[in-house]
Amino acid sequence: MYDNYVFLGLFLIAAISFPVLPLIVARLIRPKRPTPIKQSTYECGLEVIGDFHVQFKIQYYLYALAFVIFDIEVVFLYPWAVAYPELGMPALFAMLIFLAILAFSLVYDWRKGALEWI
Amino acid sequence: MPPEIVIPAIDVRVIAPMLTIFAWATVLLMVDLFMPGKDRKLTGYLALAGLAVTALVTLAVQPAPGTSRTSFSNMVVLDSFGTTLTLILLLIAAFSIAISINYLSYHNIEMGEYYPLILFATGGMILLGQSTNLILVFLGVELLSITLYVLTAFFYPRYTSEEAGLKYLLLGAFAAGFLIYGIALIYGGAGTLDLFEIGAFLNTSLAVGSAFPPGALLVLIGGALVLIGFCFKISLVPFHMWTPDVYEGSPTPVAAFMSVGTKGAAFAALLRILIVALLPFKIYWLPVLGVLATLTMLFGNIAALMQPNMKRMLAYSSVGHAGYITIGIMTAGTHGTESFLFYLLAYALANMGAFAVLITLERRGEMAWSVDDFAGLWKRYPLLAIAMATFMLSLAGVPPTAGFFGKFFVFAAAWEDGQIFLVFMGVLSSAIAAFFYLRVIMRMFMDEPVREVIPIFNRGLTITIGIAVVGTIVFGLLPTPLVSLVQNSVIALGVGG
Amino acid sequence: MDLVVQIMFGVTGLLILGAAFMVVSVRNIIHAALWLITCFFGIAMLYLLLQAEFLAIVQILLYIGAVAVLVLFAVMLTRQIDDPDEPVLFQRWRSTLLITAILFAAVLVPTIYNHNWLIFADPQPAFAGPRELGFAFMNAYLLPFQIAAVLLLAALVGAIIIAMEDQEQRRVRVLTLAEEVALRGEREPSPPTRPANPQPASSSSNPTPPPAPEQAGEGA
Repeated sequence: MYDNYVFLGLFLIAAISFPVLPLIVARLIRPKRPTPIKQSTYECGLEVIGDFHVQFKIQYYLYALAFVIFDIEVVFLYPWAVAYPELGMPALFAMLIFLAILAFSLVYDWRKGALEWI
Repeated sequence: MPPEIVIPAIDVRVIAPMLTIFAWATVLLMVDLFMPGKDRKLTGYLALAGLAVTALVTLAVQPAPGTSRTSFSNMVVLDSFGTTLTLILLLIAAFSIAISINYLSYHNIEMGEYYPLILFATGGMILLGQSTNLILVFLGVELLSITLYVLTAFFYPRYTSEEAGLKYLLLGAFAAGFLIYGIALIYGGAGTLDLFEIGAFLNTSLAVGSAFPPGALLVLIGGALVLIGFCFKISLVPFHMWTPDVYEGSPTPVAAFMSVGTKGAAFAALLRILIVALLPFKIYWLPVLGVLATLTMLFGNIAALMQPNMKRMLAYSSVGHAGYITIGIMTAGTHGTESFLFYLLAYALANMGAFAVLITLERRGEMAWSVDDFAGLWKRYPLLAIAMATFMLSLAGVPPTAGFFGKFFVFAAAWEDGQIFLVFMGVLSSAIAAFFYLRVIMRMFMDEPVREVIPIFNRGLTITIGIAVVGTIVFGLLPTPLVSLVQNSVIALGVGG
Repeated sequence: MDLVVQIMFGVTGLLILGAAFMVVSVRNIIHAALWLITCFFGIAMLYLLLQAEFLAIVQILLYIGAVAVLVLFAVMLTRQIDDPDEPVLFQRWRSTLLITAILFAAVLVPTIYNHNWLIFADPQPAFAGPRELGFAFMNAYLLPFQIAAVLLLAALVGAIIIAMEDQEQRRVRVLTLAEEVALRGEREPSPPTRPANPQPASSSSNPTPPPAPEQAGEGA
């Protein structure tokens, strides 16, 4: 039953080792001579300005909120799409109603300006 | 093996009331979005029209007493209990919107979404009253809770409103955790979420063995957790801590809506769960509810006694009333749901009226609802004082008001069930409660005004107070039509029939 | 093969437990959020081990994809991320631990008592794949399915109302607690016409607050 997962496991190991391995290798072979300049935070080659705790704009959060709702919509859509060939027309109508209700929320978002970038 | 494809027969009549209100709410939301100008009163009037249409639809699909219809794989039921409750809930929502329309603009918090959100919450309440499946019960609770979290925090300029919203959200989420955990345990034990099937499962599994079957044990634990989840929603002591703060912080119409509507709907769902699914466990839940009811009646009323703040006093009084309604629930197995429904309606009229009077005295930018503001009201605004006195008498349960018959029916049913201690505690706590209700009346009629308070009147408030006064007195003098209405409101105990 | 699955299960379980412990015990809440994501990921692995592939995908899509993003954004909206004075554990953690332990036992004990441990079931074909879920959504659970859409709509509207508040030009700016206390302090020397309400100690209400709506103006 789990045979299919062997490949998944291999991929996982490969994916983890891809970033981790070079770091380990680098740690083993690199020379280590730290100076204060070298250890300072690197920010696009400029001096660091202010604290790293900047307060985000609420706009990001509004995006995330809308994203959550439509992410859930996708989760509902996927099983429907898998079952659809056997379900036929009534299922199409049912899903259209579902999507229409959620489309209202998109209209609301758009009209309220929650999707505007500032 | 692929599951057999069965398209279930859909009886639209069963979901017609909630379909109407949800569709109206959604369309109203869109209409409001594209409505020009800043004045949102039209949205409020459209919401009222939606409630009226829903009421008409409900009356059109009302089944004959004793019969019921189910649909959507027996997930929802349309019985006369459900439709009567729906009508009461629609009345409550209509009152809430009527007293909100001018309140919002007066306090500078007018936003069109307020009204669709009230409609969504009302739809959730109707769903709670009709659902016979725990999934739908959970969805209904969430729908009404999520909208109410927002409505509680609607009084944006007020710091306490945000606090109230957050408090309600945190405790509500906690309660939802209990609820969903309990539902999961019930599903694990009984293998079904359908209330009728859970009842049948318990009957068979308890009949077979002498020992307590493990499945039934899981259902028992799950049922206890579900009960705790509901206790938060209906603020039974000791799950009531949030109530005064939340009511005080939220906009007054929302507090009024919550104090009656949420309670009514949550009680109805709890009633259905207890009577339909968990009736074999009556020996367990009856004493538990008895203790909770006693604590709630005593504590709610004693705490209200010490409140100089009217809004907090009404909040504690609503906690106390939840105790009386609990007695109505406890007797529903033997005496039907009539005392519950009668009490709910009487309480709704008096409480909505009292909150409406509170709104007339609420000043812009203030957060004090002192009892002092009622002092000497009789000398300046005699009609308002008489209305408030009627509501206070009804809440205290003094004849000839509807509140008296509400308490009378609840106590009579409990007496016949042999719950004599409970009746005693109920009468005792009513006597305690009479103190603070009568204190308000005394201050209105006997005292001199403490400070100048000019009530604000508008059409919505006047009509609400008028209907509430007339209803309270008429049902107090002539309870017969209402009694026959609630007696015909029978809860469906089985599928179809 | 069976042994590999058992080992994987153990490792995943330890990962989840460790990550969950880190969530509640680290001081920096960004780190807590990252540990929470680790915990979500472990649960997705658990679903995969139970052959509930669809649930695993949902877990990754919803919890790691959406909820974690929301949590991280919410953390970034807050001002104080790391407070060294704050005790790491909630003071009443013992009673909390007791309550959660009882609740956990409530589900575990009947299950252990009920379960027939001696049978090693053959791996069953997946009971609820996306196809079966799709059938359920369109048949038995059609009504909850549609009401879930209504719930999502209401939730989004509510969330936008709450989150958008400071962009609404018509609305006045909310006073912070400090501002409100300061205003109240200014008013204290000139007592109001009536005695302030004697509030019980537990009450959080303010007897004579500043007239908030008139205060603010263009600050928004």
